[in-house]
Amino acid sequence: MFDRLLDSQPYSLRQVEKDALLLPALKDLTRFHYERCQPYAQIVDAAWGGVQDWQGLSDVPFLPVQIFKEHALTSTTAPSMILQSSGTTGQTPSQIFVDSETAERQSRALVSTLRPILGDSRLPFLAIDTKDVIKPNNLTARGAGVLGMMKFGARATFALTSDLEMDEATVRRFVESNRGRPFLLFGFTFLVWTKLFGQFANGELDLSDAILIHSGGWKKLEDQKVSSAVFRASLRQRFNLTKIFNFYGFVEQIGSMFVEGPGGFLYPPNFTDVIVRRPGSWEVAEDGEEGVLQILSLLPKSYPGHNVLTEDRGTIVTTDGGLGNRLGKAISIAGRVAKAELRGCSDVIAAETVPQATR
Amino acid sequence: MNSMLFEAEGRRSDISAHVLRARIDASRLSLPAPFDPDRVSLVASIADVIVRWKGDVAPGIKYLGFWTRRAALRHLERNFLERCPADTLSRPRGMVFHLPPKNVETIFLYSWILSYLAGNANIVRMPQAVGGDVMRVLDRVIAALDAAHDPSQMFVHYPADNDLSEMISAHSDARVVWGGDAKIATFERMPLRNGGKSIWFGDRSSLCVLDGAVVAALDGAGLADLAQRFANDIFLFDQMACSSPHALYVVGRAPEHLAAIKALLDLISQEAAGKGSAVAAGHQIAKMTAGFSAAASGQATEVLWRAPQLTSIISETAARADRSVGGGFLSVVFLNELAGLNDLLRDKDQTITHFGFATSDIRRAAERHLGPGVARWTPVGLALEFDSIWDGYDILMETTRLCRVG
Repeated sequence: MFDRLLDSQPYSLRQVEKDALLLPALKDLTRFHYERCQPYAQIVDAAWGGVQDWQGLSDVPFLPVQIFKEHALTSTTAPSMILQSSGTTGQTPSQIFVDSETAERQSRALVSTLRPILGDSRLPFLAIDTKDVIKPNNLTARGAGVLGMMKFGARATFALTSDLEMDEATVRRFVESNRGRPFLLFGFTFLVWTKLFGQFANGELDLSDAILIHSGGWKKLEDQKVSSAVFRASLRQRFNLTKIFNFYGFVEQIGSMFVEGPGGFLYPPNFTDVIVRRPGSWEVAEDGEEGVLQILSLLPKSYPGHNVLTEDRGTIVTTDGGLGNRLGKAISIAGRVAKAELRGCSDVIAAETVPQATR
Repeated sequence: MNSMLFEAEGRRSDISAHVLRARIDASRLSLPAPFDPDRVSLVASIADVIVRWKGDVAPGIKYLGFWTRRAALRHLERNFLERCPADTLSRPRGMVFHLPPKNVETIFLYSWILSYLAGNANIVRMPQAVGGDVMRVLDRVIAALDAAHDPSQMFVHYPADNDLSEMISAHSDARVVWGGDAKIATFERMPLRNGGKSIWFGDRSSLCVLDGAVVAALDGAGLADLAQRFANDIFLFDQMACSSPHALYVVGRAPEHLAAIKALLDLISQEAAGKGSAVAAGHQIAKMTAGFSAAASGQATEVLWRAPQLTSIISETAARADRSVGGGFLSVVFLNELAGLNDLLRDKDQTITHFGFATSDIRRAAERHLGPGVARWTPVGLALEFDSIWDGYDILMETTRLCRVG
């Protein structure tokens, strides 16, 4: 099943066909994790009434993605790698246990998803990041992304130094030596914007042969009033860079990428799917209605991350729209869900406290 | 550093630390005895105003109106005088410095009213912004104080500033600090005038205990009434008031009583929905995560997470429940008997709301608890009703001093 889904073109299935293929596979995966991960089984029992003969994709148990910050959930006895969410300062990061089987599934999925963009040959690869990001243990989402993409690159070159400064000479040399053939740029959106775009002047670098794949929260960019359209237009103007692909993904489902396609929407490849839910009641929202994104993926076998409710808001724009021959769902993402500020007797921060040292 | 003095009709004026200090020092020089008739009348005028308000009045304000009625104040006074020993005079302490919590907005009014009735001069450190209804009450109070030419009552705001807090403390005879342990730690370092008295309101949490058999025997109307009162206790301040319950202990057996408890939880959710209580999507996810996390840790046999208002986790083994998620999250724990609750109580428990027990049973449970913690047992529905005896303190007694006359 999984193989069949991977070998087909990533957006080739009509939603009904996709549902029919994903449902049994997802049910199998749920049982698989239920038998191997006790805390997961306890959740399925207490919150979902145990393992059942679920009739639709939306009936299959999901986990809120933050649960991976609170529990080390694993279904493998031989993890080879532990991924961590980058996590804001002070937050506990997610811990994702990956074994060799799941790692292999992830990289096959990546190949399947990116083949239409990158073709079959390995491309020269410039990571808009530092080589320190691919530490062998406790990889962050950024590191895992770079590591995953390195499989496509002939040999990776890193554009940033250890302290995240632009290594201009290296970048110029890389671009110069790959003139006239396609090459791959990959990085977090914010780093691409602040470092690559920010450090070179108009016309200083010719990136007309480059294919940029980027991801990561837009929040920091939105804070600087940089929209997706501004981002694209600016890179085009400065570097003549036109092949730009944003994708949606997160560390708890590494390997599942919703790449930007026709209409500027994001598309789940065949082995994944997306459901939008109404916050609170958690009923499935109508197409066109904004809600919280739930992402299903057949990749995770070493940890029960195959069906997670994210903290991201989004909308299913079309189903089987057929734009650019893409079937299945097309989504747009609106940002993070709002955090609550609860009132209470306890002053949340001791705002009275002025640090003694500064007095 | 200047502070902002709250004046009539919502005006604010700048007041320098120097001027403020002079006013504080002058204020304690001419104080009345507790329950001075003019002061009682001024407080009673709050009730008069609230009663006449048109349109929706927030439950917290409605209760304040009830609490400040002349009859209620007379009762408070009688009760206070009865507790004064013979051959003893009760006198105000002088200048009292109030530091209310930023978020539960009516607290500062109760804190001030009690100390004002006790005869004190008062300075209240206000949050920068106060909600509309509360501001209307405060405006009324300030106007009445102006009319009475009484400059000894001050409501001020200033940004976090230890120097100013230190100055005011050093010129105050007593201090009432609300807002939790972190705030207490800051103010503990600031001495009061002549070794004055501080009252501390630290971090507390609360719980509820129900008799499962009694709940199961309720008819529809009875269950709906209980749900309505329970919902008040939980949702008025997003469950973050110290006296709002986070855990529900059910005396009974899950196989027999769980269905009734679930029906109650459903009705509580509906009540909250009717009140328009809704928290942000991010917190809905946080509640779900807390429920799933309890299941993953083996602390819940069932997670009820599909109602937007109230997420509940069920545990059939008697154990302490300590998840304070807020915004509509209850840990339900089954106990064999009421006595079992005593083993689970902790220092930081404040209010225990109860339903379905004989008064004598609650009395015995209260008597059995000798350790620190638990300042109040009260029926379900009254958790948020402020009482002049709060968190173990009799605030009138604490803000007065006794003088033996022999």
